[in-house]
Amino acid sequence: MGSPVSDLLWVKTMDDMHDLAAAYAVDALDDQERAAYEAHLAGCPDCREELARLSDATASLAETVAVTPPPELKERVMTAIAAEEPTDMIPLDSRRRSALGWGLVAVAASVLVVSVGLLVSNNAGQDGAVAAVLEAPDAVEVDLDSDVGGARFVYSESLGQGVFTGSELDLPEGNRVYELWLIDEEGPTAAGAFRPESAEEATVLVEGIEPGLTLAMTEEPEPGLAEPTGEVLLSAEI
Amino acid sequence: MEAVAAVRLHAVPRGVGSLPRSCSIRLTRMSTTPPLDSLMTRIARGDSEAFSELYDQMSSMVYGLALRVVRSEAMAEEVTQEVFLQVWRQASGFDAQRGSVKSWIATLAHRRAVDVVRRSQSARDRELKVPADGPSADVAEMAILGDERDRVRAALGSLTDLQFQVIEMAYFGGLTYREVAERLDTPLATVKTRIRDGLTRLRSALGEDDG
Repeated sequence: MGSPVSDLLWVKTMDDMHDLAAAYAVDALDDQERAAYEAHLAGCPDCREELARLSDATASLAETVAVTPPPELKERVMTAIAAEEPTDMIPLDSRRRSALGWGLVAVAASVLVVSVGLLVSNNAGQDGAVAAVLEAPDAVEVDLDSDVGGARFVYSESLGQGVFTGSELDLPEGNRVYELWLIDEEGPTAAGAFRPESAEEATVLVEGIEPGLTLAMTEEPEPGLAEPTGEVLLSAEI
Repeated sequence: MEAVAAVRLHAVPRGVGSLPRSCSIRLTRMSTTPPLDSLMTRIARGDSEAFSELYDQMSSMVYGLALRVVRSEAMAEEVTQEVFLQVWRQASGFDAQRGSVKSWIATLAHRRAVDVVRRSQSARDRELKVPADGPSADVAEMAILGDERDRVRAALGSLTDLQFQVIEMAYFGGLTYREVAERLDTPLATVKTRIRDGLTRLRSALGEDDG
């Protein structure tokens, strides 16, 4: 609705963010605020708990408008799921190999770099992907061993994706970037490069997540290097 | 391919004259349909029969909500199909400790419907159709389902008209709280507060034992 730029750059305090839980629960935030709130949500257990409670209320609202769908819709849905394999039956190895080979290149190229207030709105799919991870029923937050600022990592095994959020990160000098790596027995693979913006915050969607990998972050002279050259600033076992 | 454990949960005699054993009485409590949690367990193992039952129980909520928000039967069907595909794909990750099946599916459905309507051309048409007044008339028209009816109606009755109005416009109208504020010519902070207070009140009115 043509919000002025100053509006988009509006940096919210924590209180403001907590305040948005109910509006978020009824999906009444615009894209920018939604993404900002989700970045906050990743690191705020209180808000996640509050949302879980509010969603019982919104589900009751949903029931009040129930309408029986046309019977042929069920046939279409059943046909569609018959054409799919349930996620836990897809061999993880083949999924990850292909995802790492190609998916991470794509992620590195279009890394979702988000600062609170000024958010990526040109890629609704990415916003949705971040939300999907944070709202996934199996979303898990991992403990990060970190030397820098505040950083959190939440992932969903069923989605094979994770959301990294950093706050109060030092701005790397010049054009240097932070790079996330996923490390398995064969070594590290780049999982996304980013620079924190004005609020020192960043949210990065990481693909190809599965238990057993290690997530690490380094500072690098440029994005997309084949191997890390900087020292490990944080790491976590997934 | 169904796993043994899934079969066990489903082994409650159905349509048999004899009284079910005590464990099945507990499982089936107020209704004769399988509990959603156990359906999810089976769906996670790829049990399409369980998925079919889940669809039967939840599709009217999903479709009705989508229809209310997107205001197009074709788009509501599309939303419904996408939501159930998502349920099928993510079933193995569902954890009942983190919230009910119903809440999870309602959240998926609402998000999808709102995203569709905000990104489609019909967003403009929709703005003309959403009533900015008379919220209580909607309460009377609501087709509330069986067991839930009295509970939800009483809970909605505990909201003030102003609280109901903003929740109605945001949740069913798919409007952002900024749009609600503009339409009602009310300060943003007031709208945010009304949504929060209204949902909180609704939650506590519905609060007793949600399982």
